[in-house]
Amino acid sequence: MNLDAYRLDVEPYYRPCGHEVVLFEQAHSHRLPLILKGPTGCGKTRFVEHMAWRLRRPLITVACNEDMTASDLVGRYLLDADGTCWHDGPLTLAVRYGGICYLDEIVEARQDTTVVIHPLTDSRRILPLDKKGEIVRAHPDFQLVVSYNPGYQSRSKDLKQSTRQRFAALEFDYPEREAETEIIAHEADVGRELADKLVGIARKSRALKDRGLDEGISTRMLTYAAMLIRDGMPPLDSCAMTMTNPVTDDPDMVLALRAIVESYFTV
Amino acid sequence: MLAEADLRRCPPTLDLAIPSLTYFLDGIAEAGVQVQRCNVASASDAPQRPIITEQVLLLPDQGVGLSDAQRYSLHLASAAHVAAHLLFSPARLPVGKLKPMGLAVISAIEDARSEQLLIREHPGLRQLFLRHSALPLSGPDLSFASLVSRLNLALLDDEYRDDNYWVNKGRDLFRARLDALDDYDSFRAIGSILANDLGQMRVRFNPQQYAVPQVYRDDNSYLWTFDQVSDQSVAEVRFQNPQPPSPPPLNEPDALPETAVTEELVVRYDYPEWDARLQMRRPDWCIVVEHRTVFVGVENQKQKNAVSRLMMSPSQHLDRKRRMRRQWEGEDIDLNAATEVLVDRRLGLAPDPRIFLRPGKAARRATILLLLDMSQSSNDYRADIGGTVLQLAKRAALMSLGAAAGTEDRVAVHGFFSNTREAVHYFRFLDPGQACNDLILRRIETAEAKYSTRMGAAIRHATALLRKEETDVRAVVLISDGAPSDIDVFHADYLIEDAAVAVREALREGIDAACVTLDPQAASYVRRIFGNGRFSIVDNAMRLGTVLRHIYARVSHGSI
Repeated sequence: MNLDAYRLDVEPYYRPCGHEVVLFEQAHSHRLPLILKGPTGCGKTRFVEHMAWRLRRPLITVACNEDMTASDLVGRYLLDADGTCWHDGPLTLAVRYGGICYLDEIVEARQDTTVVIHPLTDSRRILPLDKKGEIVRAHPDFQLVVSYNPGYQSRSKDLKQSTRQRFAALEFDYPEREAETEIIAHEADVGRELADKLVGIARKSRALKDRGLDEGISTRMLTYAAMLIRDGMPPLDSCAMTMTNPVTDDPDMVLALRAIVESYFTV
Repeated sequence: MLAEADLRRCPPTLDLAIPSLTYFLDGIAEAGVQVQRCNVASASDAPQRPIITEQVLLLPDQGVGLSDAQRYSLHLASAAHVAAHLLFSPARLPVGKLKPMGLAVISAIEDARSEQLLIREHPGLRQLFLRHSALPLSGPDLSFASLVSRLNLALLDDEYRDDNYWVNKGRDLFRARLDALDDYDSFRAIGSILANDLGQMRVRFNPQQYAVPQVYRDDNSYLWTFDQVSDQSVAEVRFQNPQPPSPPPLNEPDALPETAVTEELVVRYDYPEWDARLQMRRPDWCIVVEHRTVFVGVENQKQKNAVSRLMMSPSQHLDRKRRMRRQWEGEDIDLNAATEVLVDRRLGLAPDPRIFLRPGKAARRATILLLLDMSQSSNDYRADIGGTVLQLAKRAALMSLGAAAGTEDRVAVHGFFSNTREAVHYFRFLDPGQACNDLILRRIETAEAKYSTRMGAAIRHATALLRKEETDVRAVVLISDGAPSDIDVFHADYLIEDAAVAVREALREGIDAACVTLDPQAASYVRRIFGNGRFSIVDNAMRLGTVLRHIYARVSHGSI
């Protein structure tokens, strides 16, 4: 089996905001497991895709959730006509055949699920499949990358020290104003002036974090808004649909965010 | 300014608009500013304008006769104008020898300069300001207010034309420096020139009757310090500290059974304190004096229904002791089901595809200790909530108590204040699992706020009490209105560091700690004490109940 289906053919756009590309390459050359942490929609997943393309490695992504079990990662027995047969999970596939396995939002997975990665992330680089009685030795190309959002930090949803200390970490945040404007302009194919306004709105909303908003408006949301505006939708409606309405349910906050949006556009 | 769909949703009164105005101002100015209704009558005859004091915007209920949408838009314009000052204007400059008329003109130029700077970033605001800058219909006259009003309009609206020489001169001078808006001094010079011209034109100025012509603008007291001026003619807005009306009782408690006997138990405990300067714990440094009422001969009454009930969903967590068989998906194959599948196959029947096994969920029980900060500052009367901060905190705590009544959660309500390290008074109003009765409600209601806030010692004592609890989740939720302080501590960081250490110690023992604070300036210290995601800053006091409920739900679900 090969993992060609998981290879990226087209370069995913990514604009570096620091030395993260070089750092990732170095970490990859030593196959160091990596944590990417940062707020939602700031470009973590895009970065991994870009790096997988750059390093020409297959990328197997798993979006973690709290119902996810260790079997969902490593694999399980299923029934077929002859009895039971083993099916590798996504993590086992990457370990066996060599690729980058990306566990998105790892803190959403339960802690008993995350411990299966422990033997993979130290010098042993093995994945024991206890139900199958097999030990899979990691392919030389295998690298584990996980991401999470420290903003939702919670005791039950937090990485244990025993997990944390196996990883190197790169910290992400929303890009600087100039960079973010460039990203929006490129991603949504809009002018810099519009992109700059949208970034301005997002930056104001980020000032409201912990003062009524759990998270500010993300770069991803800005891209959506810019796309709608580019297609000729009215800016206020586009921003309401892609930014202010999704980010909060609090009617007072929605009203305030809309007023902020309107302060940026002359109607 | 507002889209049509929003117009229908505009809050009909100022009080209802305040939460969104607070968010708007916080967002635009990127600073914590409270918005409050201004109920104080102005000392002069002039109509009232918004006032900015330290971290508070006092908004008078203007716009009588306007529609809801127009009035909301007027308040938005006020908030935006205030944001312009907060972002770009130098605050509280000494008045020096400036005459009242000079002050008024320089302030008007500063209003325009700061608005222009804000409009550079927020071009949509120009329209909002213009909407509320319309000239009175009576036609131009040469009074001071009329001239300044026209000047304001000319500086804001490129299309406005005026035939007055002075107005046009002001506009030209202002326009000439539009590319150097950051230079406060050169604009102040324009103000001086224009004021001087008015003096020569012998325009009369009556400070007692003058108010900034544009209704949305503030009274400009933010810009100046009047302390060194003895000139009585300077228009001053005097703030009278409103006398708090006698507070309505939280709940009208029923009479207690006559057989009720209570004993007040006072116990002393010693706790260490962290000295950040020496980087060491001082053992047995603080004395916590615990006050507790014990009931003798009274059956605990059922939970008061008067405390408003809120629905809380019971929290659940995965419990491996519960195994759910015959699932569509799961971790393991359910052997019994798998055997049946094989049997069915042999018999030529359609096998049941539900062959997996997975762990079930069990209810999670929580003990939440609501800890009230009862320091002197919580006695402050706040016009926007119609009572003191402490009263509001008590109400919010009782609401949470009511909310917990429908679940298996155990809620405690405690409070504290401190008077030096030797007397940290800690009140156990209601212990976890204890039924709430009238006497307890009355004790909570009559508890007084005094002295200071030694947070660390109180958190340590709360932690010690929670240690005895055996529920899955244990948490202290502090309801506070200011930074930790005490009269025997002079280093601002000392008690903050100590409280942070107390919180870390609690977390290490598996006891959560979170904080809801009413101090808009709390961002500078509350994160240091409680850590990321464990606090919420409530800029608008009326939202305390909602925010507390939210934090309570997160804590009891173990997801803080």
